[in-house]
Amino acid sequence: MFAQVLYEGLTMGTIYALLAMGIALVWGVMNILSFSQGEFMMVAMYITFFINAALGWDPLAAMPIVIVAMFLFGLLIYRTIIAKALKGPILGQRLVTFALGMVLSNGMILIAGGQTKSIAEKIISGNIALGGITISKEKMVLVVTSLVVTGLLFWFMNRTKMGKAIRATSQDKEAAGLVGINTQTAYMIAFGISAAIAGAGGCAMTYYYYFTPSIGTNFMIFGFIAVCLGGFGSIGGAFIGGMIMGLIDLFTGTYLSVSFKYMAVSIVFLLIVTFKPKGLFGR
Amino acid sequence: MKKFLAVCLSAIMVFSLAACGGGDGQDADTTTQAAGTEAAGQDDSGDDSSASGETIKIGLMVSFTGFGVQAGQECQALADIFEDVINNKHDDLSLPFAEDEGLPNLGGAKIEFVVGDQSTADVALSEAERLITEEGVIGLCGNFSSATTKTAMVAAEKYGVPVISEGTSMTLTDAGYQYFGRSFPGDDQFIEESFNYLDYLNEEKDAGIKTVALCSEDSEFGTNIAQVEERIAKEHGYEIVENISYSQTATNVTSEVLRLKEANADVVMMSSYAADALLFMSAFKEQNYFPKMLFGQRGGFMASDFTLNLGSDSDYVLTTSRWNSDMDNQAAQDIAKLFSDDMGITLIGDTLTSVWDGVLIAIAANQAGSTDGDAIMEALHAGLDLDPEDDPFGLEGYKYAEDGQNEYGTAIIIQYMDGILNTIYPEEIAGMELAYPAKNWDER
Repeated sequence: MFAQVLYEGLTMGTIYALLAMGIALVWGVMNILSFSQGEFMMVAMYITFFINAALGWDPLAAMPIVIVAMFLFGLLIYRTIIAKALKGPILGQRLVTFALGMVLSNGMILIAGGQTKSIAEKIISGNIALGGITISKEKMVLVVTSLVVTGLLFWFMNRTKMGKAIRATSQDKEAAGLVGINTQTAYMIAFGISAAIAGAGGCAMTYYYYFTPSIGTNFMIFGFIAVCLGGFGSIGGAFIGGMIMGLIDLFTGTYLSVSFKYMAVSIVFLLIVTFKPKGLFGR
Repeated sequence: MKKFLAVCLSAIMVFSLAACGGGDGQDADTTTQAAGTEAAGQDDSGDDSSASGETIKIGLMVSFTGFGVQAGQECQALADIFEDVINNKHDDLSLPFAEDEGLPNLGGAKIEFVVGDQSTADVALSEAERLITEEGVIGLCGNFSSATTKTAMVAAEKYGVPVISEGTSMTLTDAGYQYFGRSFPGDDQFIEESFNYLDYLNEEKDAGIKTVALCSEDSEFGTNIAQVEERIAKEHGYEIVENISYSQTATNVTSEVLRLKEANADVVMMSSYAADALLFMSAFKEQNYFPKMLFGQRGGFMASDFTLNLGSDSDYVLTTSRWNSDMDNQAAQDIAKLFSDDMGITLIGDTLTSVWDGVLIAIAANQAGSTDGDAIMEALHAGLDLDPEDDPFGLEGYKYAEDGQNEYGTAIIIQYMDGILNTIYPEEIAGMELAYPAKNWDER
């Protein structure tokens, strides 16, 4: 039982981490709370569903298309909404993504209806019994996706010119501008990447989750807590925050009480904020 | 170009919000009647207004957002069907007013279902008030929860407008409302019937059921059910080996399933909404665990989303219900066919009851010859004059006690098999024998 709980905790952690990294990236670069990150993920799930319904493609086959589509969607949203909001008052900047999330959620009801969707046929399905642990192959798709996305994100941010430009902009926008970095482009690419992360996550999540247009809201809370735990602005911190959340969730829920699991997450969050106000890895 | 894109996006946003708000004054079939013929003179709610050849409105409260959207859309589609059946002549159908055009005792008044939002309790209050004061509805029905019924009742009691709701909490019948009605059983009766059924299986089928695990979402719906289940299980001599309360917005129920698996009860009784019921089914399958008997208390286990997404994975799940499409009466078959022809999906009991309550308000108004709230309530208390052949539920009658409960409301128990809902209890109307114990996933 312990090994199963540990495995499931780490698995859930990677799912929370996928969401949290997108939020952390946008906050770290442009100080905007991406309340719509859950809805981006929801949009990605529906794009995957529509591709599956129209072409019969498995979510894994559709993933590259969904990632590119979400990246472009992120760029469009940045150019038309976020860039304008950044010139406005701080409250508008904070709430613009909240309004965007509502529009995306309600808009999807309009397009696809309120019915719960799922993808019935998947190329990877079933369980593997490994010692005392039951491993769901569907959930493993999520874990692998999360790890690959995390690896690629670290590579991009640390090894590419654009990644370094985004990091420089997040550290000091004016100084970055003075050394010739196009900070607006850096912002836009960062927002696009955040949407692309949601694209990869949403696509992989169709392997396990049934979804409606309101699914993003449920995940958002956990994404934010994971970011707060790990530290705002730190992508690695967001990943660790997600893992901590997953483990607390599973261990408290299984060994103490299901009713206490969210309280336990919140208590750990409060403790971290008290002793490390910027989160474990926050700057 | 940027400005053009911004304008386009803004337009899409406004359009989507407006469309999803969908209900402001919008009737169920979007073909609004001419304003001059509406509401039968109800410019002041609660006034007597014996309609004469005009249109009377009935409020249909459904969810525009959140997990209840699909159920709301099904209710609106069914309301359209009932509007047509009542307002136009359909000699071939065995349903109320099918042979007439409109309500005969109200001068042939037409019926119009007007939609209101009840996504949350506070929205239900403001929408109920709007429907009563601005739309002039003569009564309210819909896909209410117990929580949204309570807030809608604040407006209903204030203006003297009847509400027939299938919110199952006992607090509704204990509240002393004057304008409240419930056509089908509350939680206590549904759960009593569930344990009676377990007793029946032990006595007649030697099922050997001794232990029960409870798993309920933590809003008023699940909490009330868990409390009643705990009490009645003890009264019937069953041992409760696990009692889980979880959040309906949970994104992960693995720890809940691991606890249920560890408890290994003979019966797992669940009260869930659609999204969480589906999430549990995923987690059950992921853990290669399926209870010997998974017994849902309506809600998500009765939602069309449940079987549409699960297909044969829904097999062996039991749930209490008020109605099932395999019921052997002409009215049930007629309405089930009309709905499936229109929507392409099977009509479920919760959708039918939500709109049927509105039809019952129309029957009461017709019987009273008045759209006044007190006159309608008087007819409900006296008992409705409904031809049993026109009743898809086949109840003995509709006579509402002072606390609002219909004295003839009954529960049935159904089981999914081959992705289809089958009535298994009471035995007299059963279309299939219970499949027990359920096969685990790797045995199917």
